[in-house]
Amino acid sequence: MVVNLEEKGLVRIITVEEDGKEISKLIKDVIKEIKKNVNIPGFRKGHIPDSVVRAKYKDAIKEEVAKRFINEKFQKIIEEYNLTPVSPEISFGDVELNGDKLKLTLSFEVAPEFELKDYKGLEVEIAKREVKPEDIEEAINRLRNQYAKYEPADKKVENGDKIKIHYYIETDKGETEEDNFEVVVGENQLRQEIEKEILGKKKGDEVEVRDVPLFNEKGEEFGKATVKVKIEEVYKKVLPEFNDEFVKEINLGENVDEAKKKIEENLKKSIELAKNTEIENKITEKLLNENDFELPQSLLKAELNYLIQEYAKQLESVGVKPSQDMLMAAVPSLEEQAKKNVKLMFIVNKIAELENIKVDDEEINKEIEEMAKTYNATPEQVREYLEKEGLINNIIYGILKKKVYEFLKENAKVKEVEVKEAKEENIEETEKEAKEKKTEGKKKGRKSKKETKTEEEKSEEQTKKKKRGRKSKKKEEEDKS
Amino acid sequence: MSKTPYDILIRPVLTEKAVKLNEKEGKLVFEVPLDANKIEIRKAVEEIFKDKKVKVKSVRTMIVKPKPKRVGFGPLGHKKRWKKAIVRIEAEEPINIAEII
Repeated sequence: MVVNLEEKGLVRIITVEEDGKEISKLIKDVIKEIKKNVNIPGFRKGHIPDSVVRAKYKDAIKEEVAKRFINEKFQKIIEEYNLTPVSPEISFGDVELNGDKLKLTLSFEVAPEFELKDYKGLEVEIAKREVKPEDIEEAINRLRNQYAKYEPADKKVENGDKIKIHYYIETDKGETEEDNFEVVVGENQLRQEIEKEILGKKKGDEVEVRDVPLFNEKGEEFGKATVKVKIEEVYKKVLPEFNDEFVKEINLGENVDEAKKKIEENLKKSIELAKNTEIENKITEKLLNENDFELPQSLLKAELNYLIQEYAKQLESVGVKPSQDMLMAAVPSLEEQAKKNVKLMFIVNKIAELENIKVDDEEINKEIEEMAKTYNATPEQVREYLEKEGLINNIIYGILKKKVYEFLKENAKVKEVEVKEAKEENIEETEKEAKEKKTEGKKKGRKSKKETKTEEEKSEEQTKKKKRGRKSKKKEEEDKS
Repeated sequence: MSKTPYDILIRPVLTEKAVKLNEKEGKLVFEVPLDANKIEIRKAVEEIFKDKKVKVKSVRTMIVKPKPKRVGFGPLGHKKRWKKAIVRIEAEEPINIAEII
Protein backbone atom coordinates (compact mmCIF):
# COMPACT_ATOMS: atom_id res chain seq x y z
CA MET A 1 0.00 0.00 0.00
CA VAL A 2 1.40 3.34 -1.02
CA VAL A 3 0.13 6.33 0.90
CA ASN A 4 0.91 9.90 0.11
CA LEU A 5 -0.01 12.75 2.42
CA GLU A 6 -0.44 16.34 1.37
CA GLU A 7 -1.22 19.29 3.62
CA LYS A 8 -3.05 22.42 2.65
CA GLY A 9 -3.91 24.45 5.70
CA LEU A 10 -6.26 22.27 7.65
CA VAL A 11 -7.07 20.14 4.65
CA ARG A 12 -5.31 16.84 4.37
CA ILE A 13 -5.24 15.11 1.04
CA ILE A 14 -4.32 11.48 1.07
CA THR A 15 -3.53 9.49 -2.03
CA VAL A 16 -3.72 5.76 -1.58
CA GLU A 17 -2.54 3.14 -4.03
CA GLU A 18 -3.08 -0.53 -3.54
CA ASP A 19 -3.08 -3.57 -5.75
CA GLY A 20 -3.01 -7.32 -5.51
CA LYS A 21 -5.13 -9.92 -3.88
CA GLU A 22 -7.01 -7.71 -1.53
CA ILE A 23 -8.40 -5.54 -4.28
CA SER A 24 -9.27 -8.40 -6.59
CA LYS A 25 -11.13 -10.05 -3.75
CA LEU A 26 -13.07 -6.87 -3.12
CA ILE A 27 -13.91 -6.62 -6.80
CA LYS A 28 -15.10 -10.20 -6.86
CA ASP A 29 -17.33 -9.65 -3.87
CA VAL A 30 -18.86 -6.58 -5.40
CA ILE A 31 -19.47 -8.29 -8.73
CA LYS A 32 -21.08 -11.21 -6.96
CA GLU A 33 -23.51 -8.91 -5.26
CA ILE A 34 -24.34 -7.03 -8.41
CA LYS A 35 -24.86 -10.27 -10.28
CA LYS A 36 -27.56 -11.34 -7.91
CA ASN A 37 -29.66 -8.30 -8.54
CA VAL A 38 -29.27 -7.24 -12.15
CA ASN A 39 -31.01 -8.36 -15.26
CA ILE A 40 -29.24 -7.96 -18.58
CA PRO A 41 -31.12 -8.95 -21.75
CA GLY A 42 -29.49 -11.93 -23.41
CA PHE A 43 -28.60 -13.56 -20.11
CA ARG A 44 -30.48 -15.61 -17.63
CA LYS A 45 -30.62 -14.15 -14.16
CA GLY A 46 -27.59 -15.15 -12.16
CA HIS A 47 -25.79 -16.53 -15.21
CA ILE A 48 -24.14 -13.33 -16.29
CA PRO A 49 -20.40 -13.79 -16.73
CA ASP A 50 -18.15 -11.66 -14.51
CA SER A 51 -16.54 -10.03 -17.50
CA VAL A 52 -19.86 -8.71 -18.72
CA VAL A 53 -20.85 -7.38 -15.31
CA ARG A 54 -17.50 -5.76 -14.94
CA ALA A 55 -17.73 -4.06 -18.29
CA LYS A 56 -21.29 -2.91 -17.84
CA TYR A 57 -21.07 -1.66 -14.28
CA LYS A 58 -17.57 -0.26 -14.34
CA ASP A 59 -18.31 2.92 -12.44
CA ALA A 60 -20.54 1.37 -9.83
CA ILE A 61 -17.94 -1.28 -9.10
CA LYS A 62 -15.20 1.29 -8.88
CA GLU A 63 -17.06 3.34 -6.36
CA GLU A 64 -18.19 0.44 -4.28
CA VAL A 65 -14.72 -1.06 -4.16
CA ALA A 66 -13.24 2.27 -3.13
CA LYS A 67 -15.83 2.70 -0.42
CA ARG A 68 -15.24 -0.73 1.01
CA PHE A 69 -11.52 -0.31 0.84
CA ILE A 70 -11.71 2.93 2.74
CA ASN A 71 -14.03 1.49 5.32
CA GLU A 72 -11.49 -1.19 5.97
CA LYS A 73 -8.32 0.83 5.85
CA PHE A 74 -9.21 4.35 6.84
CA GLN A 75 -8.79 3.80 10.55
CA LYS A 76 -5.39 2.32 9.99
CA ILE A 77 -4.23 5.12 7.76
CA ILE A 78 -5.22 7.92 10.08
CA GLU A 79 -3.70 6.12 13.00
CA GLU A 80 -0.49 5.70 11.15
CA TYR A 81 -0.27 9.36 10.36
CA ASN A 82 -1.83 10.46 13.64
CA LEU A 83 -4.65 12.45 12.10
CA THR A 84 -8.02 13.27 13.57
CA PRO A 85 -10.53 14.20 10.94
CA VAL A 86 -13.19 16.62 12.07
CA SER A 87 -15.10 17.01 8.85
CA PRO A 88 -18.56 15.53 9.00
CA GLU A 89 -17.91 13.86 5.69
CA ILE A 90 -14.83 12.54 4.02
CA SER A 91 -14.85 13.40 0.37
CA PHE A 92 -13.53 11.07 -2.28
CA GLY A 93 -11.37 12.51 -4.93
CA ASP A 94 -10.96 10.70 -8.21
CA VAL A 95 -10.89 6.94 -8.03
CA GLU A 96 -9.01 4.84 -10.54
CA LEU A 97 -9.44 1.14 -10.88
CA ASN A 98 -7.31 -0.68 -13.41
CA GLY A 99 -7.36 -4.43 -13.24
CA ASP A 100 -6.70 -4.99 -9.58
CA LYS A 101 -4.93 -1.72 -9.03
CA LEU A 102 -6.81 0.85 -7.04
CA LYS A 103 -5.81 4.46 -6.70
CA LEU A 104 -7.83 7.05 -4.89
CA THR A 105 -7.54 10.37 -3.14
CA LEU A 106 -9.28 11.39 0.03
CA SER A 107 -9.60 14.79 1.51
CA PHE A 108 -10.79 15.90 4.89
CA GLU A 109 -10.00 18.53 7.44
CA VAL A 110 -8.31 18.06 10.75
CA ALA A 111 -8.74 19.94 13.98
CA PRO A 112 -6.65 23.08 14.11
CA GLU A 113 -3.74 23.01 16.47
CA PHE A 114 -3.39 26.03 18.63
CA GLU A 115 -1.89 27.20 21.83
CA LEU A 116 -4.54 28.03 24.31
CA LYS A 117 -4.09 31.42 25.89
CA ASP A 118 -4.46 31.71 29.62
CA TYR A 119 -7.89 30.56 30.57
CA LYS A 120 -7.40 30.32 34.31
CA GLY A 121 -8.04 33.44 36.26
CA LEU A 122 -9.86 35.23 33.50
CA GLU A 123 -10.68 38.70 34.62
CA VAL A 124 -14.30 39.40 34.12
CA GLU A 125 -16.11 42.61 34.75
CA ILE A 126 -19.81 42.50 35.28
CA ALA A 127 -22.41 45.02 36.21
CA LYS A 128 -23.09 45.30 39.89
CA ARG A 129 -26.53 44.22 40.80
CA GLU A 130 -28.20 44.03 44.15
CA VAL A 131 -31.65 44.00 45.57
CA LYS A 132 -32.78 47.39 46.75
CA PRO A 133 -35.86 48.19 48.83
CA GLU A 134 -37.39 49.93 45.83
CA ASP A 135 -37.14 46.78 43.83
CA ILE A 136 -39.13 44.86 46.39
CA GLU A 137 -41.69 47.64 46.49
CA GLU A 138 -41.99 47.43 42.75
CA ALA A 139 -42.38 43.70 42.75
CA ILE A 140 -45.18 44.04 45.26
CA ASN A 141 -46.91 46.64 43.11
CA ARG A 142 -46.68 44.40 40.15
CA LEU A 143 -48.25 41.59 42.10
CA ARG A 144 -51.05 43.87 43.21
CA ASN A 145 -51.71 44.91 39.64
CA GLN A 146 -51.77 41.30 38.60
CA TYR A 147 -54.45 40.48 41.12
CA ALA A 148 -56.43 43.68 40.68
CA LYS A 149 -60.21 43.57 40.86
CA TYR A 150 -62.73 45.82 39.20
CA GLU A 151 -65.48 47.37 41.29
CA PRO A 152 -68.41 49.45 40.09
CA ALA A 153 -67.82 53.10 40.78
CA ASP A 154 -69.50 56.38 40.12
CA LYS A 155 -66.77 58.24 38.34
CA LYS A 156 -65.55 59.51 35.03
CA VAL A 157 -64.06 57.05 32.62
CA GLU A 158 -60.28 57.04 32.68
CA ASN A 159 -57.63 54.94 31.10
CA GLY A 160 -57.37 51.62 32.90
CA ASP A 161 -61.01 51.53 33.88
CA LYS A 162 -63.26 48.77 32.82
CA ILE A 163 -66.62 49.73 31.34
CA LYS A 164 -69.72 47.87 30.37
CA ILE A 165 -71.19 49.29 27.21
CA HIS A 166 -74.13 48.82 24.98
CA TYR A 167 -73.45 49.69 21.39
CA TYR A 168 -75.62 50.28 18.38
CA ILE A 169 -74.14 50.49 14.91
CA GLU A 170 -75.80 51.72 11.79
CA THR A 171 -73.86 51.55 8.56
CA ASP A 172 -74.40 53.77 5.58
CA LYS A 173 -76.00 50.82 3.87
CA GLY A 174 -78.67 50.73 6.54
CA GLU A 175 -77.52 47.62 8.34
CA THR A 176 -77.77 47.73 12.10
CA GLU A 177 -76.29 45.81 14.94
CA GLU A 178 -76.27 46.07 18.72
CA ASP A 179 -74.73 44.25 21.62
CA ASN A 180 -73.32 44.49 25.14
CA PHE A 181 -69.81 43.90 26.29
CA GLU A 182 -67.23 44.79 28.86
CA VAL A 183 -63.96 46.36 27.95
CA VAL A 184 -60.91 47.88 29.59
CA VAL A 185 -60.31 51.39 28.34
CA GLY A 186 -56.89 52.36 27.10
CA GLU A 187 -55.71 48.92 26.06
CA ASN A 188 -56.43 49.22 22.38
CA GLN A 189 -59.47 47.00 22.58
CA LEU A 190 -61.81 49.61 21.15
CA ARG A 191 -61.55 51.72 18.07
CA GLN A 192 -59.51 54.81 18.82
CA GLU A 193 -62.19 57.19 17.62
CA ILE A 194 -64.70 55.75 20.02
CA GLU A 195 -62.31 55.50 22.92
CA LYS A 196 -61.48 59.17 22.61
CA GLU A 197 -65.12 60.10 22.97
CA ILE A 198 -65.73 57.82 25.89
CA LEU A 199 -62.94 59.18 28.03
CA GLY A 200 -64.28 61.52 30.68
CA LYS A 201 -67.88 60.36 30.39
CA LYS A 202 -69.91 58.92 33.23
CA LYS A 203 -72.24 56.03 33.84
CA GLY A 204 -75.39 56.44 31.79
CA ASP A 205 -73.84 58.81 29.26
CA GLU A 206 -74.32 58.18 25.58
CA VAL A 207 -71.80 58.83 22.90
CA GLU A 208 -72.37 59.06 19.21
CA VAL A 209 -69.57 58.84 16.71
CA ARG A 210 -70.31 59.50 13.09
CA ASP A 211 -68.52 58.36 9.97
CA VAL A 212 -66.44 55.62 11.48
CA PRO A 213 -64.67 54.00 8.55
CA LEU A 214 -65.18 50.28 8.22
CA PHE A 215 -62.46 47.98 7.04
CA ASN A 216 -62.62 44.49 5.69
CA GLU A 217 -60.14 41.73 6.43
CA LYS A 218 -57.56 43.11 4.04
CA GLY A 219 -57.69 46.55 5.59
CA GLU A 220 -59.57 48.16 2.73
CA GLU A 221 -62.21 50.65 3.57
CA PHE A 222 -65.63 49.57 2.46
CA GLY A 223 -68.01 51.92 4.15
CA LYS A 224 -68.80 54.17 7.05
CA ALA A 225 -70.99 53.71 10.05
CA THR A 226 -72.48 55.64 12.91
CA VAL A 227 -71.77 54.12 16.28
CA LYS A 228 -73.79 54.90 19.37
CA VAL A 229 -72.35 53.77 22.64
CA LYS A 230 -74.11 53.84 25.98
CA ILE A 231 -72.01 53.43 29.04
CA GLU A 232 -73.93 51.16 31.34
CA GLU A 233 -71.43 50.76 34.12
CA VAL A 234 -68.02 52.04 35.04
CA TYR A 235 -65.69 49.85 37.05
CA LYS A 236 -62.77 51.15 38.96
CA LYS A 237 -59.61 49.17 39.16
CA VAL A 238 -59.02 48.26 42.79
CA LEU A 239 -55.62 47.12 43.82
CA PRO A 240 -55.68 44.65 46.65
CA GLU A 241 -54.04 45.69 49.90
CA PHE A 242 -50.72 44.08 50.48
CA ASN A 243 -51.67 42.42 53.75
CA ASP A 244 -51.57 39.01 55.34
CA GLU A 245 -54.75 37.87 53.62
CA PHE A 246 -53.61 38.82 50.17
CA VAL A 247 -50.29 37.15 50.79
CA LYS A 248 -52.00 33.96 51.86
CA GLU A 249 -54.25 34.01 48.84
CA ILE A 250 -51.40 34.06 46.38
CA ASN A 251 -49.39 31.51 48.33
CA LEU A 252 -46.51 33.66 49.44
CA GLY A 253 -46.39 32.58 53.04
CA GLU A 254 -48.32 33.38 56.20
CA ASN A 255 -47.80 37.09 56.62
CA VAL A 256 -46.44 40.19 54.97
CA ASP A 257 -42.93 39.88 56.35
CA GLU A 258 -42.61 36.36 55.15
CA ALA A 259 -43.86 37.34 51.72
CA LYS A 260 -41.42 40.20 51.52
CA LYS A 261 -38.63 37.89 52.37
CA LYS A 262 -39.74 35.52 49.68
CA ILE A 263 -39.94 38.24 47.11
CA GLU A 264 -36.50 39.41 48.08
CA GLU A 265 -35.19 35.90 47.76
CA ASN A 266 -36.72 35.54 44.34
CA LEU A 267 -35.22 38.79 43.22
CA LYS A 268 -31.87 37.74 44.57
CA LYS A 269 -32.13 34.47 42.75
CA SER A 270 -32.91 36.10 39.46
CA ILE A 271 -30.07 38.52 39.98
CA GLU A 272 -27.78 35.62 40.74
CA LEU A 273 -28.89 33.96 37.54
CA ALA A 274 -28.37 37.11 35.57
CA LYS A 275 -24.91 37.46 37.04
CA ASN A 276 -24.13 33.94 36.09
CA THR A 277 -25.19 34.39 32.52
CA GLU A 278 -23.28 37.61 32.31
CA ILE A 279 -20.15 35.96 33.62
CA GLU A 280 -20.57 33.14 31.16
CA ASN A 281 -21.11 35.51 28.31
CA LYS A 282 -18.07 37.54 29.25
CA ILE A 283 -15.94 34.44 29.57
CA THR A 284 -17.08 33.29 26.16
CA GLU A 285 -16.27 36.64 24.70
CA LYS A 286 -12.81 36.63 26.24
CA LEU A 287 -12.03 33.15 25.07
CA LEU A 288 -13.18 33.93 21.57
CA ASN A 289 -11.26 37.16 21.41
CA GLU A 290 -8.00 35.92 22.82
CA ASN A 291 -7.71 32.75 20.84
CA ASP A 292 -7.38 32.96 17.14
CA PHE A 293 -6.86 30.06 14.79
CA GLU A 294 -8.02 28.70 11.51
CA LEU A 295 -11.33 26.90 11.45
CA PRO A 296 -12.16 23.92 9.28
CA GLN A 297 -14.44 25.05 6.48
CA SER A 298 -16.47 21.88 6.36
CA LEU A 299 -17.45 22.18 10.01
CA LEU A 300 -18.39 25.79 9.53
CA LYS A 301 -20.57 24.84 6.64
CA ALA A 302 -22.28 22.12 8.61
CA GLU A 303 -22.88 24.46 11.52
CA LEU A 304 -24.19 27.15 9.23
CA ASN A 305 -26.58 24.72 7.62
CA TYR A 306 -27.78 23.68 11.01
CA LEU A 307 -28.35 27.28 12.06
CA ILE A 308 -30.20 28.08 8.86
CA GLN A 309 -32.44 25.11 9.38
CA GLU A 310 -33.14 26.14 12.93
CA TYR A 311 -33.89 29.64 11.77
CA ALA A 312 -36.32 28.38 9.15
CA LYS A 313 -38.02 26.21 11.75
CA GLN A 314 -38.28 29.17 14.03
CA LEU A 315 -39.92 31.24 11.34
CA GLU A 316 -42.32 28.46 10.53
CA SER A 317 -43.39 28.03 14.11
CA VAL A 318 -44.28 31.70 14.23
CA GLY A 319 -46.38 31.18 11.16
CA VAL A 320 -44.11 32.75 8.60
CA LYS A 321 -43.22 30.68 5.63
CA PRO A 322 -39.49 31.15 5.17
CA SER A 323 -38.61 32.26 1.70
CA GLN A 324 -35.25 31.88 0.07
CA ASP A 325 -34.60 35.61 0.27
CA MET A 326 -35.33 35.79 3.96
CA LEU A 327 -32.94 32.97 4.68
CA MET A 328 -30.27 34.47 2.48
CA ALA A 329 -30.59 37.76 4.32
CA ALA A 330 -29.95 36.00 7.60
CA VAL A 331 -26.90 34.16 6.37
CA PRO A 332 -24.23 36.74 7.27
CA SER A 333 -25.25 36.96 10.90
CA LEU A 334 -25.72 33.22 11.13
CA GLU A 335 -22.32 32.74 9.60
CA GLU A 336 -20.82 34.85 12.34
CA GLN A 337 -22.64 32.76 14.90
CA ALA A 338 -21.47 29.55 13.26
CA LYS A 339 -17.89 30.74 13.44
CA LYS A 340 -18.25 31.49 17.12
CA ASN A 341 -19.88 28.17 17.84
CA VAL A 342 -17.23 26.16 16.07
CA LYS A 343 -14.41 28.13 17.62
CA LEU A 344 -15.86 27.77 21.06
CA MET A 345 -16.21 24.05 20.53
CA PHE A 346 -12.51 23.68 19.88
CA ILE A 347 -11.61 25.83 22.85
CA VAL A 348 -13.91 23.95 25.18
CA ASN A 349 -12.57 20.63 24.01
CA LYS A 350 -9.03 21.82 24.46
CA ILE A 351 -9.63 23.04 27.98
CA ALA A 352 -11.40 19.81 28.83
CA GLU A 353 -8.42 17.90 27.55
CA LEU A 354 -5.92 19.99 29.48
CA GLU A 355 -7.87 19.94 32.69
CA ASN A 356 -8.91 16.34 32.36
CA ILE A 357 -12.59 17.13 32.44
CA LYS A 358 -14.57 14.20 31.19
CA VAL A 359 -18.15 13.19 30.75
CA ASP A 360 -19.04 9.74 31.99
CA ASP A 361 -21.94 7.53 31.02
CA GLU A 362 -23.82 8.26 34.19
CA GLU A 363 -24.04 11.93 33.36
CA ILE A 364 -25.22 11.19 29.87
CA ASN A 365 -27.89 8.89 31.23
CA LYS A 366 -29.02 11.55 33.63
CA GLU A 367 -29.27 14.08 30.86
CA ILE A 368 -31.24 11.69 28.73
CA GLU A 369 -33.61 10.95 31.56
CA GLU A 370 -34.24 14.61 32.02
CA MET A 371 -34.90 15.06 28.35
CA ALA A 372 -37.27 12.12 28.47
CA LYS A 373 -39.24 13.88 31.17
CA THR A 374 -39.64 17.05 29.18
CA TYR A 375 -40.63 15.22 26.03
CA ASN A 376 -42.86 12.72 27.79
CA ALA A 377 -41.01 9.70 26.53
CA THR A 378 -39.07 6.87 28.06
CA PRO A 379 -35.30 7.28 28.35
CA GLU A 380 -34.86 4.38 25.96
CA GLN A 381 -36.89 6.12 23.29
CA VAL A 382 -34.93 9.31 23.67
CA ARG A 383 -31.67 7.43 23.52
CA GLU A 384 -32.74 5.59 20.39
CA TYR A 385 -33.78 8.81 18.73
CA LEU A 386 -30.53 10.53 19.63
CA GLU A 387 -28.47 7.69 18.33
CA LYS A 388 -30.45 7.53 15.13
CA GLU A 389 -30.02 11.23 14.49
CA GLY A 390 -26.42 11.22 15.62
CA LEU A 391 -27.16 13.81 18.26
CA ILE A 392 -25.64 11.92 21.13
CA ASN A 393 -22.38 13.73 20.58
CA ASN A 394 -24.15 17.04 20.91
CA ILE A 395 -25.43 15.96 24.30
CA ILE A 396 -21.99 14.95 25.41
CA TYR A 397 -20.62 18.24 24.22
CA GLY A 398 -23.36 20.10 26.06
CA ILE A 399 -22.46 18.44 29.35
CA LEU A 400 -18.79 18.95 28.74
CA LYS A 401 -19.32 22.61 28.01
CA LYS A 402 -21.23 23.05 31.21
CA LYS A 403 -18.50 21.41 33.22
CA VAL A 404 -15.78 23.44 31.55
CA TYR A 405 -17.67 26.63 32.26
CA GLU A 406 -18.03 25.67 35.88
CA PHE A 407 -14.33 25.18 36.02
CA LEU A 408 -13.67 28.48 34.31
CA LYS A 409 -16.01 30.31 36.62
CA GLU A 410 -14.31 28.89 39.65
CA ASN A 411 -11.01 30.09 38.33
CA ALA A 412 -12.15 33.43 37.05
CA LYS A 413 -11.67 36.72 38.82
CA VAL A 414 -14.99 38.39 38.83
CA LYS A 415 -15.08 42.09 39.39
CA GLU A 416 -18.30 43.90 39.96
CA VAL A 417 -18.48 47.31 38.46
CA GLU A 418 -21.07 49.93 39.25
CA VAL A 419 -23.13 50.65 36.19
CA LYS A 420 -24.95 53.91 36.04
CA GLU A 421 -27.75 52.70 33.84
CA ALA A 422 -31.30 53.00 35.02
CA LYS A 423 -31.96 50.27 37.49
CA GLU A 424 -35.40 49.47 36.14
CA GLU A 425 -34.13 48.30 32.86
CA ASN A 426 -31.69 46.02 34.54
CA ILE A 427 -34.31 44.36 36.60
CA GLU A 428 -36.58 43.78 33.70
CA GLU A 429 -33.74 42.21 31.89
CA THR A 430 -32.86 39.97 34.75
CA GLU A 431 -36.40 38.80 35.05
CA LYS A 432 -36.60 38.00 31.43
CA GLU A 433 -33.41 36.07 31.58
CA ALA A 434 -34.52 34.28 34.68
CA LYS A 435 -37.74 33.30 33.02
CA GLU A 436 -35.89 32.00 30.07
CA LYS A 437 -33.62 30.04 32.31
CA LYS A 438 -36.47 28.48 34.18
CA THR A 439 -38.26 27.31 31.09
CA GLU A 440 -35.04 26.00 29.83
CA GLY A 441 -34.88 23.62 32.69
CA LYS A 442 -31.62 25.29 33.64
CA LYS A 443 -29.45 23.64 31.06
CA LYS A 444 -29.51 22.29 27.56
CA GLY A 445 -27.96 23.94 24.59
CA ARG A 446 -29.24 26.24 22.00
CA LYS A 447 -32.19 24.04 21.15
CA SER A 448 -34.40 24.71 24.12
CA LYS A 449 -33.36 28.32 24.18
CA LYS A 450 -34.76 28.68 20.76
CA GLU A 451 -37.91 26.89 21.72
CA THR A 452 -38.64 29.27 24.53
CA LYS A 453 -37.98 32.14 22.27
CA THR A 454 -40.41 30.89 19.72
CA GLU A 455 -42.97 30.33 22.40
CA GLU A 456 -42.68 33.90 23.47
CA GLU A 457 -43.01 35.02 19.94
CA LYS A 458 -46.01 32.82 19.52
CA SER A 459 -47.84 34.26 22.46
CA GLU A 460 -47.03 37.71 21.20
CA GLU A 461 -48.50 36.77 17.90
CA GLN A 462 -51.60 35.49 19.58
CA THR A 463 -52.22 38.64 21.52
CA LYS A 464 -51.76 40.59 18.37
CA LYS A 465 -54.31 38.43 16.67
CA LYS A 466 -56.71 38.89 19.53
CA LYS A 467 -56.43 42.60 19.28
CA ARG A 468 -56.98 42.48 15.63
CA GLY A 469 -59.87 40.15 16.18
CA ARG A 470 -61.57 42.52 18.55
CA LYS A 471 -61.16 45.38 16.22
CA SER A 472 -62.43 43.60 13.21
CA LYS A 473 -65.14 41.74 15.06
CA LYS A 474 -67.76 44.29 14.31
CA LYS A 475 -66.88 44.47 10.69
CA GLU A 476 -66.72 40.77 10.32
CA GLU A 477 -70.17 40.38 11.67
CA GLU A 478 -71.38 42.98 9.34
CA ASP A 479 -69.71 41.23 6.49
CA LYS A 480 -71.63 38.13 7.32
CA SER A 481 -74.99 39.79 7.56
CA MET B 1 -21.90 6.39 -50.68
CA SER B 2 -19.78 3.58 -49.57
CA LYS B 3 -20.59 1.79 -46.37
CA THR B 4 -18.49 2.57 -43.34
CA PRO B 5 -17.41 -0.28 -41.09
CA TYR B 6 -19.99 0.86 -38.57
CA ASP B 7 -22.73 0.51 -41.16
CA ILE B 8 -21.83 -3.11 -41.51
CA LEU B 9 -21.32 -4.07 -37.90
CA ILE B 10 -24.62 -2.88 -36.44
CA ARG B 11 -24.01 -4.05 -32.91
CA PRO B 12 -22.21 -6.79 -31.02
CA VAL B 13 -24.43 -9.61 -29.90
CA LEU B 14 -24.23 -9.78 -26.15
CA THR B 15 -25.73 -13.01 -24.98
CA GLU B 16 -24.64 -15.93 -22.88
CA LYS B 17 -23.84 -17.90 -25.96
CA ALA B 18 -21.87 -15.09 -27.56
CA VAL B 19 -19.83 -14.55 -24.41
CA LYS B 20 -19.06 -18.23 -24.25
CA LEU B 21 -17.83 -18.21 -27.86
CA ASN B 22 -15.84 -15.09 -27.15
CA GLU B 23 -14.10 -16.47 -24.12
CA LYS B 24 -13.46 -20.02 -25.27
CA GLU B 25 -12.87 -19.73 -29.00
CA GLY B 26 -11.91 -16.12 -29.51
CA LYS B 27 -14.88 -15.35 -31.69
CA LEU B 28 -16.86 -12.18 -32.00
CA VAL B 29 -20.53 -12.11 -32.85
CA PHE B 30 -22.19 -9.17 -34.58
CA GLU B 31 -25.50 -8.23 -36.03
CA VAL B 32 -25.02 -7.16 -39.65
CA PRO B 33 -27.31 -5.92 -42.43
CA LEU B 34 -29.10 -8.59 -44.40
CA ASP B 35 -27.26 -7.65 -47.56
CA ALA B 36 -23.76 -7.59 -46.08
CA ASN B 37 -21.40 -10.19 -47.44
CA LYS B 38 -18.56 -11.98 -45.74
CA ILE B 39 -15.83 -9.97 -47.43
CA GLU B 40 -17.34 -6.71 -46.29
CA ILE B 41 -17.65 -8.03 -42.77
CA ARG B 42 -14.04 -9.20 -42.71
CA LYS B 43 -12.84 -5.79 -43.84
CA ALA B 44 -15.06 -3.97 -41.38
CA VAL B 45 -13.83 -5.98 -38.40
CA GLU B 46 -10.20 -5.52 -39.37
CA GLU B 47 -10.80 -1.80 -39.81
CA ILE B 48 -12.50 -1.26 -36.48
CA PHE B 49 -9.95 -3.24 -34.47
CA LYS B 50 -6.98 -2.15 -36.46
CA ASP B 51 -5.19 -0.67 -33.46
CA LYS B 52 -5.30 -4.12 -31.88
CA LYS B 53 -3.96 -5.69 -35.06
CA VAL B 54 -6.77 -8.13 -35.48
CA LYS B 55 -6.57 -10.68 -38.27
CA VAL B 56 -9.82 -12.32 -39.25
CA LYS B 57 -9.48 -16.04 -39.76
CA SER B 58 -12.96 -16.80 -40.92
CA VAL B 59 -16.43 -15.29 -41.16
CA ARG B 60 -19.59 -17.27 -40.94
CA THR B 61 -22.96 -15.75 -41.44
CA MET B 62 -26.50 -16.89 -40.94
CA ILE B 63 -29.93 -15.43 -41.19
CA VAL B 64 -31.76 -15.66 -37.91
CA LYS B 65 -35.33 -16.77 -38.40
CA PRO B 66 -38.00 -14.46 -37.07
CA LYS B 67 -39.58 -15.58 -33.84
CA PRO B 68 -43.32 -15.47 -33.54
CA LYS B 69 -44.41 -12.75 -31.22
CA ARG B 70 -47.83 -11.56 -30.27
CA VAL B 71 -48.25 -8.04 -29.07
CA GLY B 72 -51.09 -8.04 -26.61
CA PHE B 73 -54.16 -9.56 -28.26
CA GLY B 74 -54.72 -9.78 -31.96
CA PRO B 75 -53.04 -11.71 -34.75
CA LEU B 76 -49.68 -13.34 -34.40
CA GLY B 77 -46.85 -11.12 -35.59
CA HIS B 78 -43.18 -11.84 -35.68
CA LYS B 79 -39.82 -10.29 -35.02
CA LYS B 80 -37.61 -9.17 -37.87
CA ARG B 81 -35.28 -11.63 -39.45
CA TRP B 82 -31.69 -10.53 -39.22
CA LYS B 83 -28.25 -11.59 -40.22
CA LYS B 84 -25.75 -12.75 -37.66
CA ALA B 85 -22.05 -12.99 -38.38
CA ILE B 86 -19.67 -15.03 -36.30
CA VAL B 87 -16.14 -13.83 -36.88
CA ARG B 88 -13.18 -15.88 -35.81
CA ILE B 89 -10.24 -13.67 -35.13
CA GLU B 90 -6.65 -13.81 -34.17
CA ALA B 91 -5.42 -10.98 -32.02
CA GLU B 92 -2.48 -10.20 -29.82
CA GLU B 93 -4.68 -9.95 -26.79
CA PRO B 94 -8.20 -11.24 -26.43
CA ILE B 95 -10.99 -8.80 -27.09
CA ASN B 96 -13.69 -8.77 -24.45
CA ILE B 97 -16.97 -8.71 -26.23
CA ALA B 98 -18.63 -6.86 -23.36
CA GLU B 99 -16.25 -3.96 -23.71
CA ILE B 100 -16.95 -3.10 -27.34
CA ILE B 101 -19.87 -0.97 -28.09
